[in-house]
Amino acid sequence: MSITDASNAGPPLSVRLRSQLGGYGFLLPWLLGFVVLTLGPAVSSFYLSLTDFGLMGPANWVGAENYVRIASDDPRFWTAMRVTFTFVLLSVPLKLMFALAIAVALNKGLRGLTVFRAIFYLPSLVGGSVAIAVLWRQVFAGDGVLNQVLAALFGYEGPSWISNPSTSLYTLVLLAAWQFGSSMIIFLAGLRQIPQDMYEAASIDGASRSRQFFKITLPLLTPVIFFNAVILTIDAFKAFTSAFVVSDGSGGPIDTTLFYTLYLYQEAFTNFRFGYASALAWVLVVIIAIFTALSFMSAKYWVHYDD
Amino acid sequence: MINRRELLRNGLLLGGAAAFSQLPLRTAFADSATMRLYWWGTPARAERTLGVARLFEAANPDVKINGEVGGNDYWSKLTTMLVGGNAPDIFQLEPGRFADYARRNTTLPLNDFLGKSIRTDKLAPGVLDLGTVDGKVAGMPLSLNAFALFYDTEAFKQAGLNPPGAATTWDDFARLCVDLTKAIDRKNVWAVGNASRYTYAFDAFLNQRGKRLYGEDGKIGFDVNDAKDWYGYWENLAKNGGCVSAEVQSMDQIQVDSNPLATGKAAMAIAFSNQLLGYQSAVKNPLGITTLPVSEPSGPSGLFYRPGLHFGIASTCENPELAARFIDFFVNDMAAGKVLGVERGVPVNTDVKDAVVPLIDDVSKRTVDYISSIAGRVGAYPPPVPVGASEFDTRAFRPLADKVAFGQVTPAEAADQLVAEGGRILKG
Repeated sequence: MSITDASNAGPPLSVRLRSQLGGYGFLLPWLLGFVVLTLGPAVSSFYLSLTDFGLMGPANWVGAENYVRIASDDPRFWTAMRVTFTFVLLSVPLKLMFALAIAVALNKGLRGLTVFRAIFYLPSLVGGSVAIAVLWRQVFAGDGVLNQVLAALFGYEGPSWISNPSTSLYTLVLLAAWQFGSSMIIFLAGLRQIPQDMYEAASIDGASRSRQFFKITLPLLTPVIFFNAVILTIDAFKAFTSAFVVSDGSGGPIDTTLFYTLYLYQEAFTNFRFGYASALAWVLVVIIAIFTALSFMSAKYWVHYDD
Repeated sequence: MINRRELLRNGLLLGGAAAFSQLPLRTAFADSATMRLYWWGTPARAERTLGVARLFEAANPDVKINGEVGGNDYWSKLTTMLVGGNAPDIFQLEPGRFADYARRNTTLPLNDFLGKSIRTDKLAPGVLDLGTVDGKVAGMPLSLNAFALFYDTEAFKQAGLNPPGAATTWDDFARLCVDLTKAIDRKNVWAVGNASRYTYAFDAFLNQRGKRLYGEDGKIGFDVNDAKDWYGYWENLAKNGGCVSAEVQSMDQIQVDSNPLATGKAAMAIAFSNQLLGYQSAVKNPLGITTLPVSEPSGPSGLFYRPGLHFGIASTCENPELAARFIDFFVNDMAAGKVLGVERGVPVNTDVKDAVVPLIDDVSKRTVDYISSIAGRVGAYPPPVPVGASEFDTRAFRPLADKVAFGQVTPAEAADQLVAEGGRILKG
């Protein structure tokens, strides 16, 4: 009874509750989705990672056995790690450079900017889709569009880029780099934030265009670069669709496109080791967390905040 | 009034419940008269299968059969549904994986229905043995087929070469392939696909040597030398230009529509007799059908009658009696048999077979004739495949064949690795 009587503790609880309820009401759809579709499965996946859960049988507790096996007795885990790290280390810088270059070009205030912006953003809208991955397969196949163009223009007989072990991964890197649109839009917004008078002052002092870029644009853009780099890195670690579609789920040819997520998927859905696959998923979470933490720790050495 | 703590607690409970999807949440909504049927295959198969479903519905007005067709994604989708507790009531399996799935308790043994809902009196002798795993009939064989070699008759005619036959040895076959490829003389077209990655072709090869892919004990039934000979044979053939390049080979997902014969990159294919219908619809020229090459002209053929496909009833099926009645209808009903023809292979019900054979088209007839023609040369059906067979195939046997083809390992190294992987994956 003392609660409703708290005349000096703001409005009565029922009023506060009612005002908060609105907030929770708006939050509810997200919260429900998060708890039911993300948190619940995540918690249960952690539990399963400590079991030998197979196809139909009961999940028997095996403790850390799955994790021990990942670290000590699984050559394909290391293959998948190598493929994934190669993909991340190539695709993220490429994508950043593409995005920044196009954003700087578009920022020149040329006519029809919105049209170009939309065109360059288009691959990002469709690029993650299955249809584009299928298209990619066609373009880079042995008798695909790319080889036909190469043959017609240079008389060069190209290999089957997607089914040749020495080039298959790079076609996927290219597919990823091609989807630079979202980062580009963010870069464009970042470029707009840089005060024009800095450039004016610099040109009066005789600084060349490239000097302006490296001394003004880049330093002031570092927070945006940082943001994009973190997001792209996390995305690249989680890449799945392109490799799955291009290799028909096999990670082939001979495991050269065996992305970590694809390996995890195979362990679960073709080898029926759901417990082990859950453990693999948690190892990926840890890897991504470490990478993100490292990025944040490195930020203070190179990211320039104005304020 | 709802408060935060309660909301959170209820939310967590709900999340937990959804997460443990083994709990059959769907039970409350299941309609006992609706059944889900899942298979993979060509559109022609879908048409025939759905045709039987419609007949069954007509005979049982309160029943609705929902057909679902899978493709390359069939196995992963089936696994997802099984583990998620929403498996189709009846699903299609094939001998290479049948026992692997059955031994993981995905299918309901049919023994209680045999002779009752599922009539067995007209089944060809030994048919039920082809569906038996560990003493129980784990699935119903739907048809009979055998390994076969398909060839483009026109390609051989134009090349002036005799097509392979019953006495063709593997060495003859290699020479024939090289000659045929030269005669065809078209860029990116070869005599045959690289069959080193087909477990069934290897199985036939082993049978000719008196061995098996998988032994009675559930382990591999061959040794390093057999594997080395096998990988070496195909490496040689590829080197001499008799079979497709590694790049083409690695794109074959071991389905009719991805096989080099169907994609126009080869003139022959090592496949299953009933698939002649599927291949013929993809290839313009008339296809011939014959036995696989042999080790010795008069030696064993390496062939055996095998179930073309199985239907299994999911162990989670809520109305197994109805599912069993459908399987009975599918196998034993005359009208159903006429709709199905021999697309899945020769019918297992002898009455149905006798009634269907006079009605079928020319291509179908060739498959039936083939099955009859090898009657004197077939061996015993191998033991059911062990747990892990599907992993052994997709994660060891095929990738190693590809590594040999791409020149990353020698046949001897691949053979060593295959036997080692076999020991690791197949625990017996």
